Amino acid sequence: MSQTEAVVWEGRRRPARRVESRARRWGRLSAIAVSVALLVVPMIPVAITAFADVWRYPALLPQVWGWSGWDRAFASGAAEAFATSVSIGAAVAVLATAMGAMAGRALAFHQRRWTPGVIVLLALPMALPPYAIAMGLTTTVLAVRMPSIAAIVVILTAFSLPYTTLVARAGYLAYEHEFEDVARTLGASRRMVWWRVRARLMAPVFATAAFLAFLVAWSDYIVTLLISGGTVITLPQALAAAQSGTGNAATVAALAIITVLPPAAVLIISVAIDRKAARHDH
Amino acid sequence: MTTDLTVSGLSRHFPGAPAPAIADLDLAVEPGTCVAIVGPSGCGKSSLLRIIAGLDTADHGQIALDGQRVDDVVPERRGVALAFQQPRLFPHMSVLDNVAFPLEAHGLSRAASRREASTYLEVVGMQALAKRRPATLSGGQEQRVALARALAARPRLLLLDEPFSALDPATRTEMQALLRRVREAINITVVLVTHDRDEAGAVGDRVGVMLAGRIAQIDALEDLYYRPRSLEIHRFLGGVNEIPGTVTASTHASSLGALAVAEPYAAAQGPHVMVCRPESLSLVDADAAADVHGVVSDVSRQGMRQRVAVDASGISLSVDAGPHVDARVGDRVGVGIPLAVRHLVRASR
Repeated sequence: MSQTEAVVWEGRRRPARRVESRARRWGRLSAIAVSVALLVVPMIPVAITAFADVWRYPALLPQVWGWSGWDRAFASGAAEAFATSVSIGAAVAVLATAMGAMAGRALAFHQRRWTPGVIVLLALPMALPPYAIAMGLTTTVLAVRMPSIAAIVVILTAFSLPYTTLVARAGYLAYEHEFEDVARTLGASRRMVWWRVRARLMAPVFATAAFLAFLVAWSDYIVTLLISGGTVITLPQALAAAQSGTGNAATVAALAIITVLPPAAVLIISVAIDRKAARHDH
Repeated sequence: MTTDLTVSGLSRHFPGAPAPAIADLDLAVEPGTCVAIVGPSGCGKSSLLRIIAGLDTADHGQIALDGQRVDDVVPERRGVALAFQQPRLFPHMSVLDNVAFPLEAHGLSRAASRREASTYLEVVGMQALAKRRPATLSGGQEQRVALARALAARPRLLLLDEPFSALDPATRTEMQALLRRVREAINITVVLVTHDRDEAGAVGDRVGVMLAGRIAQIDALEDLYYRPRSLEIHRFLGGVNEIPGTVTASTHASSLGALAVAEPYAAAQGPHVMVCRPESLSLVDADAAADVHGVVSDVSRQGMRQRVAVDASGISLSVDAGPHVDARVGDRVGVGIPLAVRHLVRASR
């Protein structure tokens, strides 16, 4: 290649890189737009319905806008159901993440002959119908006379454990243990190592595990119903009760929106933690 | 205050491994000195450092700092900092907070730790990058910060596990010089392990050769190269010339003939292998007076030098020659072996 050709080639190379990076940026933005559309677009009719006091066929939009759906939703105990769901979801997320972190660590760092068998056993509940497992666990907690809320938390924690354990195990397998070795030789106590090193490095993993556990608890209907016999009302139950009636589409839509918001908030928080960790890594 | 390290009778056999990683190892490091331990991969170098740091436990043996046993002392109270090949800077902390970490661990407030950390960053020339995240640093910069962080722990003993081996040659040389400067500024006892013989010579006051889990010889680099205690050490350090023979009355008799040996070997008797390094030998014309005569069997380039293999009575001698020496395969040549470089190693049975 002559010198002139080389200069021309270099001259074309830089715009080519810009085009490539622009294409990548567009690709990323397109992916985000499609994802948001998939999540948000189905909610648009729901959101419109929630604020429709009167909406008769064949009108494209409600004839009368208003808050009556929300009023009825809160009058039927949506706030209490929301608080109960958040409490159960938070308790399950904390317990299942803590237990999953310990189990995942053991399965990652102490590989034994029986480790694959344990992993298969852990994954089994994900492959079986939830109703079958719920029935078995329900009988057990009823037999020991555990209070309803506690029993619901325990069973949903057991349901969530496969997810949190497998997520934590994957995280620990990728975890560089030398960070802790370095920290200890620098004079850090075990507690300081845990808090300042391991917890920070594993935060994205724990956030993902907690998110999954929260989702399992948040979306539960059958366990709560079986255990409490209708005495503990969570959002999915309030939603199902409203759904079973007629002429209260606005109430159902309002409850649906209330049901969707907390998982979305938890998802945004866990993604933010993940992005923060990714920024540190690059 | 500097600290001496004494390791005695140390053994470590990992379950399932065919041989012990460390086998009855003894090591003494004087206060304020740097011992570089060099050895092939898998010879137990890193295991030794992990045990000294308290991150692993020996099956047998003792470790003492300033005469006091530390075998049962947990790593965080041992006063031994260990820097790995990968710097392992905490990615979620700034450069300054990484260096402040050991100071906080020792009870200083965050503000005081950061103030003091700055002085350590200054020592390694990294103060300007104090606010940066580790991910934005080059490999050499990361190692500088890792060194500052280890020093900030105010260790009695600094262990360096192949700290520069992942760096490019220029940065590695720069880091070796930095380590020497740091040692001048902060009088600290250092044990460094490496598989790079040149690096060991560049940073160590003494160099230990570790083979099969034990220190085979610990000496100044020149002694290791020219007066190895065994053929294994000679071979590990790149020695290729071995002349088997028998010593009688200060004369080594072999198929090359009788070669006198120097005064230190006057007491040697019986089967011995004479070893001499290629850079100590010289090529001379075939008709000139020489210790050995032979035929050139191979010539290979090694940078600006060339290595000439001379076949003499069935023994191959390698001679390092300058770039202008015109030696060709088949040439008859003479080889000079100066008396001072004729080193004897007892023949293994």
